[in-house]
Formats: sequence, structure tokens, C-alpha cells
Amino acid sequence: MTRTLSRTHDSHLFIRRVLLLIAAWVCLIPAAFAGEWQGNLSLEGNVFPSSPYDPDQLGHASWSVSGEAEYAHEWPESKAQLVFTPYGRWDPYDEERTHLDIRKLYWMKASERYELRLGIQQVFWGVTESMHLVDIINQMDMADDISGDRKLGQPMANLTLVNPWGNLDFYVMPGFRRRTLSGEHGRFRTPVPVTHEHYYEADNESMHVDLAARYSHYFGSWDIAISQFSGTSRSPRFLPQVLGYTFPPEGTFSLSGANINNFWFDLFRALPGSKLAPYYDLINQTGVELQWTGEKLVWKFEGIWRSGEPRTYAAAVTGFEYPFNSIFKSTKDLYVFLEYIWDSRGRESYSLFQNDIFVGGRLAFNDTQSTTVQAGWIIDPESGGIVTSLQADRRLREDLKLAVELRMFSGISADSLLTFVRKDDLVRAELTWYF
Amino acid sequence: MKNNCSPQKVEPGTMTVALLLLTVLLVPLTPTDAETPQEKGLAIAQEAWNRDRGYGDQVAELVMILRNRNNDEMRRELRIKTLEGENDAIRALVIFDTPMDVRGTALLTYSYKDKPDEQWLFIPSVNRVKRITGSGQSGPFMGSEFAFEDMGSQRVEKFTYKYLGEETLDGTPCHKLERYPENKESGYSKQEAWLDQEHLRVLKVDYYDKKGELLKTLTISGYQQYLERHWRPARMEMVNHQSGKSTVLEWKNIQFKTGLTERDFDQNALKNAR
Repeated sequence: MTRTLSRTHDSHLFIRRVLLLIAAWVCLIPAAFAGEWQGNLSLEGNVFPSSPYDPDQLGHASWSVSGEAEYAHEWPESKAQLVFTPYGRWDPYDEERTHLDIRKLYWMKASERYELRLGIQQVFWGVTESMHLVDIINQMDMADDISGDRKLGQPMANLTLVNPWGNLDFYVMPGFRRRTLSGEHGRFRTPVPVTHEHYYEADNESMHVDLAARYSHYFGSWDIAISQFSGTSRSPRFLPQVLGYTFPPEGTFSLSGANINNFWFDLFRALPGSKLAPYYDLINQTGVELQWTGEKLVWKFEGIWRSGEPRTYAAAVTGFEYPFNSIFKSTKDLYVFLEYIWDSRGRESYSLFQNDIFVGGRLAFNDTQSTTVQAGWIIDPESGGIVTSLQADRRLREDLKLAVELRMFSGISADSLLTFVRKDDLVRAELTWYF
Repeated sequence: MKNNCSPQKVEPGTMTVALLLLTVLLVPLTPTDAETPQEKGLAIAQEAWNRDRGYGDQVAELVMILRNRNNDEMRRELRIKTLEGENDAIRALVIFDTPMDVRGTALLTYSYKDKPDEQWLFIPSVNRVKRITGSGQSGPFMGSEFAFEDMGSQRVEKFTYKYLGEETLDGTPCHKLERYPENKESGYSKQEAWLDQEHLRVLKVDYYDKKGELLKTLTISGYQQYLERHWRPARMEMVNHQSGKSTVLEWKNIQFKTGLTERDFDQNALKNAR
């Protein structure tokens, strides 16, 4: 069966319009109920020590502002809640980074045996630190931050059945959210720009209704969860597009570590007007999460089995966390992390990491400013490539927080998918004001 | 590239409980039998614990005022919900309201008589519930002069005891006893506690560091009785003699038997806490 390559973006536009309409309506809610608004505004400054890979990308410095607000109202008698969290960023250097999103907008009702949530939500699954493999409900807001920790709001109906033998969660998700990616002039982008034409395996494209279920429970020191997802993959493949022709998804042309450095890809890149088109497969994913929590040592495991992308593969992350408390006779605590990341596809993976080692540490000063310093390295033992991340946080005033971050890509080989961000070492400072 | 090694940029760090201070109320009886000082100390502690049993559930608001040597002040606000369970089990949910960057962070603790605590932390910035270890007991709670172990439930089993005798504290006849932490990770070599003889309420505690030097003094005042049985203080002041810093805890809106159930203390409730 060949998949047709239709490329309407109408359906996605429709979802956006509906979301905006809901947002406009919700803005009226605070007038109806007394609730509580809170939020924050952030100013971010970025310095890129290296000149970009492509002269079209931004140069050595940029800045941006972002803000998030939250409105919450609770009906304690009926155990119901309404939550609305709009988010926005303005980036004068990258048009794709300038965006608005509804992170959350849902109504929730809890009872002794169930919880029901209707609306736009953020759901996190997982236990490990370096990678969040199992986590699949929300799309990543990668334009906002390449860490992938920021997520777009996902419309859904979510029913949680609370049982003595564990929680059962069911999710029905109409309306797919496309991954946000850096724009043509932004850093952290693919070697050739990504088009605004998105392709889907699902005939009804972004209107496909995704389904998921998860069982979670804990037994003494063990926390476990098993999940199943069926629907449109959150991670796109990238199909080469030359002179208006888009290569079919069945071929072996999608961008991966195996072809990033070959002759054909170089030729493709050299052709004028070459673009990459995001293609979203229909997949099935089974996920397992395990955590064993001892008195100090914590062991974590996440594994997935995914089919439909198009080949079936498995991936896993496992590792330890260990605390050193009151180090050097001070009140500081040091937490160390060691994890191993594995992907059965090896170099043919579309993922940036496969068979890598993560080493990290987090130093908590436990002072009144909640100062923390974190460091993490993802090391590819085969190529010697290292991704470094350093981050320091400190509360300057009761309503003001400063975060300074350093990201470095070193020893990245030409056939790694990371090759196009190797010039994107970053020093970032972010000042956040809470209100 | 998800390399932030731990998203819990949260006050309580990945540590322990902030169970209830309510169980700070040790209390002695007036034991009459000929017993060793160790037995008598334990008997007093056990009686204090027993007298406070049966409160069902409790909710309270807590304001912490942190003072440094220059008398600069900082405020921290939190809410604590507690539920008594079978076999002396206690469930506690702590919700952090300020400082604003940690607002919405919540800590769920199951504490047991005969096994280690179980704890989960909700980190709102990433919508993540994380199971954490109970390590780091001797570290400061929210940067204050209270350590996590001071905030946690002062279970009888967490200490061994020695009765030191009767002593008058500001005109109140008290029992004075020493308690020694069972936990090797504790920051203290011993604690000296004064409990009033009539109601067995803790009025004062001296904390001694590992070197045996006096480290901190806790003074508890403003006791009020609830449901004609349970004594709760309005104010607890911890002074650190070595650093010159101090922290005041003010308890507000204490309510009992509000109808909370185990469902208000599970991982789902942790996510909904606000």
C-alpha cells in the first residue's frame, strides 16, 4: 500500500482557529468566577560564540521575551477545577520562535474513584533524566527550547480510574500539534530549511484522533507504569524536497545519521531551493517505566517498542541517581546521575541520541536563594562527540530569578545528526519576574 | 538534548518530608514505677504521642519568617494537610505557595512506624511527579534554620531517650529529657527537650551538633487546644547559635476533621494541589 502524499495544512489551520476561539472565550471566564491569576515574564539573552553553519542564520547574539500566565479556579465542594495557562514568546530574530500557545485549558472533576479532565493539558510520563522516551502525549515546543522540556498544549479527554490496584488512565486526543522548529534564520536548525508543508500518514492528517492508555502504580520501593499509544507520531521524519518534488516516505531518503554525510545528501543540499518537509507517521508505541527508590540510591528504566516509523524499533534509557548530602560539612547536597541511552536502529535512528552515556550532577546549595548548579554531559563513545550542558539558577529577589546556561557541542562527527548544530554552542542568561 | 539533569528546581530539593510539626508535642506522663531513665524517657515520649492520636485529619497554613544576622527578613508560605492512617501511618501533603518561583510545588509523604518514608514530589514547571528518596534529612528546609528532620514527624521510634529530671521553665514545671536520633544521617548528636508536666507539650528543645556543641534552640509558644484534646502551638522559633540566624514558624487556620480521605493524599491529588 502506498501512502498518498497530500499536503493540506487546512486541517491544522482549523485546529489553530478553534484553539484561538476557545482562548478568546476563556478570557471572559475570569469575569464570571473569582479565581486567581499568576504568572511570569522572562527576558532572555543569547550569545553564540561561533558563526553559524549557514550565513542566513542569526549571528552571534540575540534576545527574546516570553511570558506565561495561569488562571485557576477551584470548586472545593464538588472537587472541580478550571485551569487556563496561555504562553507566548516574541523573538525578533526568528519568526518561528515568535508564537502563542495554550499550554493548559481544562476543566477537571475528581471523585473517590475517578478523575475526568476535558480540554488542553500537559501530561508527563517517565522517570529518567537524560531522555524522556516514554513521554509522548504532548508535542515538544522545540523552537522555544531545544531541550524538549517545553511542551505544546494537547487537546484531550482524559479519564483516570483510581483503583486500589493502581491508576488506569485513558486519553482521547483529537487535534494533532505539529512540532515547532527553529525558523530559517534561527539557530538549531537542519542544514536545509524546513518547509511549512507538513505531511501525514493519516488520511485525515492533523484531525486524526490519537488514543492512549496507561497503568501506573507503586509497590513499596517500586514505581511502575505501562503505556500504549496509538496515533500520529510526535517526532517527524524529514523528507527531502527538490524543485517542488517531495520524496516519498516509503523510501530510504528521510534524514537520519546514516545519510547525513553521503553524496546524495550533499548534492541535495547544494541544489537551490532544497527543503526538508516534516512527515508524521502513524505509530504504535508500548512504553515501560520502572523506578526503584532505595534509601539513597535510585534506579530508573524507560523502554519503548515502537512500530510504524516505518520500521519497528526498540529504545531504552536506564541509570542511577545518588545523593551526597551535606558535602564538605556544608549544607549543600550533590546529586549525581549516570544513564545509558540505547536505540536499536543505531546510526539509522532519527533520534539525536543512540548508544550514548549521560553523566550529570546537580549541586543544591539549600540557601535562601535556592541556588543550584547543574552539569550534564551526553557522550557518544563511538564518535567521541560530547554535548555539554551547564546551568546555574539563583533567586535574586523574592519575585526575580536568574538562570545562566551553557550548551556546548564538541567532537561532533560529520555523520552525526547533531552535525548541523555543532556551530550552535550557546551561552544564555534568563531573568524571570514572577507576579 | 534533554540534559537538565534534574528538573526539580524546587525549594525542598529532593529531600524529605515536611510532615507535621504537630508531633513535636512529645509528652510525658508522670510515671511512678521504678524504671531506668531510658525507660522513663521513652514512656513519656510514647504517652505524648498516644495522647495526640485520633485527630483524624488536619489542615493548616504555615508562614516561615527567615532572619539573617542583619535582621533582614524573608517570608515563605506553605500549606500542610495531614491524615492519620491505620497502624500509626501518617500521610502528609505540603503545598508551597511562596516564593513565587516554587508556587504549586507539592510534596507527598507517607510515613510509617516500622519502615522508611515514601515520598513523591510534584514539579509544576514540567508537570512531573517524581518519587524521591528520604535522604538529606539534616539539610535545611527551604533555606531556613529548620532542618528537614525537624519538620518531619517526630515519631517515637526515631529516637532513644533518657529522662533527665524535673525542671521549671519560665515558671512552668517541666520534664526534661534527652533524645538521641536513631538515624545515622541526622545532623545532631542529641536533643534536650522540655515538656510541661500537665499537658506534656514540648516548650523548648536544644539541638546539639555532631561535635556535641549547642547548635540551635527551638522555643514553642501560643499553645491552643483543639477538639478538647489536641494541643497546637501558634509560634515556633528556631535560633541558630552558631550562625546567628533564626526562623519563626507561624501556624494559622488550623482545622481538624475536615473530612479528608486517602484520595486527598495520592499521586493524583499531588498533581491537583493548588
